[in-house]
Amino acid sequence: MEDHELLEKLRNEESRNFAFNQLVRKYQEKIYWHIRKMVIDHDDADDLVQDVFIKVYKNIGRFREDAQLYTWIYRIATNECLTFLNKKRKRFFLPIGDVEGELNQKLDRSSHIDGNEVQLKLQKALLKLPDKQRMVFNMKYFDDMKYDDIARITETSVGALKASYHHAVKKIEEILTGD
Amino acid sequence: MKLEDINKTNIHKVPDGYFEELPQIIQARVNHGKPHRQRLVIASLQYALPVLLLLVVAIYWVLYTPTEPTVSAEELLAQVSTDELINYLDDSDMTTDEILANVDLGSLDDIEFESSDTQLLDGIDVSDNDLDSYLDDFEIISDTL
Repeated sequence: MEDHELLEKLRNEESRNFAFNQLVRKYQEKIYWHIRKMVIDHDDADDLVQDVFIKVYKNIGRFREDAQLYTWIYRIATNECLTFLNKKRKRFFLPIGDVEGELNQKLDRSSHIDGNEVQLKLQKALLKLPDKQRMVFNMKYFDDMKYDDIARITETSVGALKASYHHAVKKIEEILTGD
Repeated sequence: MKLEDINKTNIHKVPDGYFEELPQIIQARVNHGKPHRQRLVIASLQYALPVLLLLVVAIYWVLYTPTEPTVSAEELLAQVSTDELINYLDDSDMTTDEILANVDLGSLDDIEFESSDTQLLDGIDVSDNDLDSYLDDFEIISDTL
């Protein structure tokens, strides 16, 4: 179902639940993986993806259609992720390295991780990046998203995104070479 | 090492059937409320809050409730000996009138003095003639004695 059809049915009380179900099925995997790559842990990603779609349902009336539906959903997911990671840091009352340490441990211990040594090293190298830069890298490198789409989701200019991605690549390659 | 040398594989996995069940789980939350994990947190908070409140009240009661009984002024005065009182009055600048101004003379009738008239006079070495002479000097009528 196209996004404009979904929106029309979502605004109709009789068809809202059906349309919402269709919307979740259409975007759940993209949103889940977008979140999962940031928070690493499946249970945390599960909670957050549910929260994202609940917010979509509650706020669909406020969606202005000046952006595309999937951009709006991605933006909610991005904010939920960054808020979650910020809260984790404040809960620790410790420097940023400790959240990185916790996420590193999840990579090592989780039964929901399956990669070779190099791929695991790449994931650990990514954890050394600031959250927003890591998110941009994920969207460009793993999801192969266009800079224009990333710019709309993160509300950052294309130029800034290109610079951020270029620096992230350089830093990761230095870390991987150093190891 | 270059990034292009690394296979772009997603190393993260999900439990079997996760994406089949997720839409129903989300729909249930939309229709009925909070999920299981959040409900557990809220339920535990509901039990923890009354206990915390009791603890706060108990701490306040222990720290701020006065433990020593209050003592009245009369009880405090009773602890001071007569000799100490007399020495204090002698050392003070208070006149007899000032001291008596604070005494309820009406209550003196109920007070029994430790010494009787004869005991007071027994210690004084004065003849009867000299005593009469003193009384005449001070114009005190003998019948009053």
